[in-house]
Amino acid sequence: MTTMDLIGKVMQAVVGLAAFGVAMALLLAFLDRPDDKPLLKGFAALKRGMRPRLIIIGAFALIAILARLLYGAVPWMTQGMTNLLIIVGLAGIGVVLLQWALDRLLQPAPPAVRSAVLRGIGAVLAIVVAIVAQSAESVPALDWITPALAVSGLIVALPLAGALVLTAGIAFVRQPIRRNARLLVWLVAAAAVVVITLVLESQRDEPIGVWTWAAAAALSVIGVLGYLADRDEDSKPMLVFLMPAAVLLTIGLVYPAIRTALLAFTDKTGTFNGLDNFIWMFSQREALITLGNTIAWVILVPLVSTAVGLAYAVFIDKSRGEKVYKMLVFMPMAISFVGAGIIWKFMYSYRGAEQEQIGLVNQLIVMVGGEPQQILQNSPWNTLALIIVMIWIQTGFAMVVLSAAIKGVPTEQLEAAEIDGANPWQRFRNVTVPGIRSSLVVVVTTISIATLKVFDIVRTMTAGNFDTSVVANEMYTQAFRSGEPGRGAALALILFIMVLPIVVYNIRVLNQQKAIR
Amino acid sequence: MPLGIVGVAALALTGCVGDAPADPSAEPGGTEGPAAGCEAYADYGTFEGAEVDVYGTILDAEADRLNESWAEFEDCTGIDVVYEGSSEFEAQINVRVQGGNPPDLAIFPQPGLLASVVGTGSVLEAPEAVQANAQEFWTEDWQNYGTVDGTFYAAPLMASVKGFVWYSPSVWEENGWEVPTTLDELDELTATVAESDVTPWCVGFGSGEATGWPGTDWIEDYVLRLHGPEVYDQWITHEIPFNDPMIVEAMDRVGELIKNPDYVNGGIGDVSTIANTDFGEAGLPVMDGECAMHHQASFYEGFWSDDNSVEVAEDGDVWAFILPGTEADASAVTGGGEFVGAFSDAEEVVAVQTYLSSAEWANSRVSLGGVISANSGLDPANASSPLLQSAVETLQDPETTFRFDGSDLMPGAVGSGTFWSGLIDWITGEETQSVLDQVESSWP
Amino acid sequence: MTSAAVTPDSEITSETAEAALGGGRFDRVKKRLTSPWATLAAIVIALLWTIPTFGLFLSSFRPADQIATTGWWTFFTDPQLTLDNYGEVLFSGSSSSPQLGEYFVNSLLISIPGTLIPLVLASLAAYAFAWVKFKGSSTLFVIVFALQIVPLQMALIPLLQLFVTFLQPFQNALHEAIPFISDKQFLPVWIAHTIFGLPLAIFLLHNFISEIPREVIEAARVDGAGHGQIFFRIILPLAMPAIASFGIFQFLWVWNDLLVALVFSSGTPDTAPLTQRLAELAGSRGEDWERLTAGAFVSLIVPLLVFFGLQRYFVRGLLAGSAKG
Repeated sequence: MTTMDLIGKVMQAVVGLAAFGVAMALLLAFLDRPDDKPLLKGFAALKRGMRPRLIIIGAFALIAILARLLYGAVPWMTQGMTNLLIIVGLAGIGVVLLQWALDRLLQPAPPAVRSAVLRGIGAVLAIVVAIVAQSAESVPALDWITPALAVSGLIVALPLAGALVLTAGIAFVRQPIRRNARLLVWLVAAAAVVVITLVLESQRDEPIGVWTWAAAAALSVIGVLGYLADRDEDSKPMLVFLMPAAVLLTIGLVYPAIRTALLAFTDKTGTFNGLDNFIWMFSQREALITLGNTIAWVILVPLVSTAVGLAYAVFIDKSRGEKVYKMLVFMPMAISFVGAGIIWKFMYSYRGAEQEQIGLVNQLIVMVGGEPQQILQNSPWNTLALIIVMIWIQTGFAMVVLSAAIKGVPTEQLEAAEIDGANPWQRFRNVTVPGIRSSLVVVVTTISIATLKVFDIVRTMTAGNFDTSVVANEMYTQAFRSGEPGRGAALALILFIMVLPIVVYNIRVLNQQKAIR
Repeated sequence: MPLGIVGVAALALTGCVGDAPADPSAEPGGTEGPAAGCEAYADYGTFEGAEVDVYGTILDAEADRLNESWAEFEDCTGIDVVYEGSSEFEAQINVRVQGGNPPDLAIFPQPGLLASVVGTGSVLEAPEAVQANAQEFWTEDWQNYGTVDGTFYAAPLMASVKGFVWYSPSVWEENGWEVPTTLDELDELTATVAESDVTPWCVGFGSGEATGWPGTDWIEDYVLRLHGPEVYDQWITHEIPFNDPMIVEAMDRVGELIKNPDYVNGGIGDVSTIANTDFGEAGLPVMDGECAMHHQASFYEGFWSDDNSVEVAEDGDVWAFILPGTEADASAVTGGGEFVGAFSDAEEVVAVQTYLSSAEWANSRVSLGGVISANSGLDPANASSPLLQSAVETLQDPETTFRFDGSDLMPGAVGSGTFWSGLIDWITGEETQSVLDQVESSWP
Repeated sequence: MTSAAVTPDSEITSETAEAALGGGRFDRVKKRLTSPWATLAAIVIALLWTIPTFGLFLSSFRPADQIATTGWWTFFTDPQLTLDNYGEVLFSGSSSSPQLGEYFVNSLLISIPGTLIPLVLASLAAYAFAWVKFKGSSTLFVIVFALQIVPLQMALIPLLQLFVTFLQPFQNALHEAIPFISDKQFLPVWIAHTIFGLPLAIFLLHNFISEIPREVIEAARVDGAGHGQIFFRIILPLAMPAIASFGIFQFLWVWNDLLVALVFSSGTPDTAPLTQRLAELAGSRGEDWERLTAGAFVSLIVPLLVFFGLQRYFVRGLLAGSAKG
């Protein structure tokens, strides 16, 4: 590794985090709603917030100037880098000035005007993107824009601009027509993106790629969130708080989930085959064993690890050396699943009765006069042996979360109970447990879901043999080792069905909480 | 050597071409002639700054030797061959291809996997130069393993010979045991050994998530030897059912040896320990004289010790014979190997692919030690040990019937799925017929 | 409500808050809660949980052939120690895979943004779900919650397709503009970890953030604070124990992850993390697995340091004094 490589790597992290921070700051800046601020007139209005803006403008200008000065002076400042930095500098100054102007000009304006102006600016930006994408071929600095990307840009930008213009127009219509109309506009825009993609794709040789689909999904998300938020002014910020997570989740999880659901009804060539995958699944001799094992896992692991984690957290609470105690039980969490697999293979390893044992468990059995057992092979105890590994790992999670929750239980309540003459157990039952109930639900839920998804332990320790397989392991094997993505997807659906009760239970708890508040 | 003309677009696909002119090989004498020692590589052309990504299963020390084997080629052609090894290759290659991010070249460890990736339509037909090399240096059988539906995609790379039976010459000499020349003699020898205080066999099917594969080698060896290559081919292509009576017979024959409590599992425990004993450790009791024989491929040579303190030779600490046939001198072996498929037809990729299929590369790699190749241009003397030399000779012998490891050729759902798990059920007590029926029903 | 401990501007740390709440009675509570039996039980659990790790730790110092033939407890009667396993793991650099240091840097550079970004996004979203009233809030939250079960493996291929079409051209452009930033970058890995970590993060943080007493937030609203101010001045400080807990876990998952790294990092030393190198150390056929014992401990160090570093956030009584329940 050369120093330059290292600098490059660290720079990625620094620049990446900085960019993320700036993006977040910009998003949050919108939260600073004008009506929260006192209305100022004239120079006083201009002066407010001037200094930070001037500093930012100065910083951007410095970047651009430095880039120009260093170009040619030092070898590492390439032409591409210079251009990039100058563009960044100018764009930064532009954004700050625009925000400043808007902030000042729009402050006295009614919300509808503000909304319309902002949308109009958005539409102009979208059109600029489209023009840039189209002219990319002739501009050398934009040669990284591939034809597919340029087409995608055009497909997405035009409906986006249209939607922005339309919604800006609707800004002056009264509720609830405005709200419904806007939702409609956004959904139509999303549909337009899909339709244009399909039409263009049928005429082109090379595929356009999935980006336009993701954009369509993002447009729908924006529409739906806006619909939900438009009910009252107070809900507007919700958009900002939710937008980044919602877009990422839609692209990264919702789309794959839908794809998986469809895949479950196809064979490996991708043609529809009805319920064949499910029929295959349940015609396997071991299907019931696998399901039974999974249920045993999902019952035992959350209960035992939460119980032990809670007991431990209570026992060590406020004791001397609490940090060390915590770390000892936390340590298994910090070991990767592969590492855990090695550790426990050692623990369970077997040698014939006449030989020296190398596994601790069998050594203990021999010491008390028993016959050494092939722990990983003797069904159904082998499943229990694997479950113990998962409990060993997850207890640390339960302990850390519950310990933090216990520390949140108000001390006065414990003291009050004590004054009332409650013994430690009663205090625990009647004060601590109710105080951390929601954390308990969270811990049990999280561990249950993690347990349903875990496959590494089974893979590394028994590879699913000896009647130890679980659904997640079968899913991985089918989708990735056997090249049968359809079967893997069908198993994923089964997993989803198994998690439904947990989801339903959590909804109920959630509603209860809402009712209390 | 005609390398074919490729478009600039293809070149751009490989990304990092830097500032080099698009096709410097068109004017090789432009600035300077081939450097000293580079005459052998002049035909490949020069590609200053070009980079070729190679993806495979080979890791660590083996990967170092791989890099070393083409170091000279890199120096002379200017191509930077970037090798990436992964223990998750089998799963990851599918992910990368479907995700639109394939490597330039992939070293497939199994023809079955090659075929399934070819099925996605992204593997390119082998370029002419590679086809010419393949025809020159490999037998038709080997070429067929790189062929899918009549199109030749991938030339073989390295090879290994399976079906060796490892033993300790000194222990055998003490007891007066002789290397058997037929399967019947092997059975007799097993019975004889069982009467002494040495257990005849030690066996281990354990291999992490691939547990069970050492067992498939046993079955495949017996199918090939008992019923010949035609039945073997029909079996792996599913022309005869997986549970055909002939397969039942072969499996029962294996069972007579390794499911017999008197014959296994030397130094480890009873029959059921086979399922969980790691294949890497299973053979080690041979050295202690706790068991007489261990069935494993040629690569087991490297497992006896970390520091080469164990001499692998006919008169050394351990040695091996190839599992005999039904008659003496019947020469049929199973084996494995890798195949190099391309996802890009850029000129530098073609050059690397061509080089890897050449006899020069085979000699370069084999002389670094540890592996062999079925390349007929390989000089057996380059092999690093007596055992590997004998393996190369076996592979190059025209009399040898060579068949690829069957489980590698079957669809993944069977070859690396139910066949493995079926053998685990079998060794822990289930009947041959019901295991084979189960595997048959899982054939996709 | 005594607002001393919850007002945003308060400089009062938890310790002083505890002291203010009356040290004398406090000590009595402590005495009764930790009876000798409880201490004993804690020690037993700690022992049970530590013995396997300890066995691995001892094994990592034993010669390879010893690990395979004798139990680690024989160390106490026949101590044989070697640093060979660590030597191999740490210094067996080679042309194909350089020394561990580079992978260590990669792991850090993947894990830190891979933890911070989802934490920020998730706390924003969790606040919105918990405290911003809007129609469909519960439905959306349930959807996010249910997304936890989407198996990672099923999301890999679609996400990779997106990255190849959209991110790759951008990365190449960045590489050409700034040559010493490799064209193989961490960006896809960060985004992937963020996406996969978000549902659980939102779920966990929502739980804690929604527990913050309503009075605290309403008092701030009455004082004229907007959502942004409430988030920064009240939610973030009060939810710090939860954020720190989740931060540790997210860090662990990212640090120990192999699957996401395999798909979204280039696999070359440019971006590959420690886990990938450790998996390679086991050898093509898993024959050198004894190196994994040492490798497991090398990669354990950083998570433990993070745990120790963040432990000071798990303090008692951040919410103490608020009238609740």
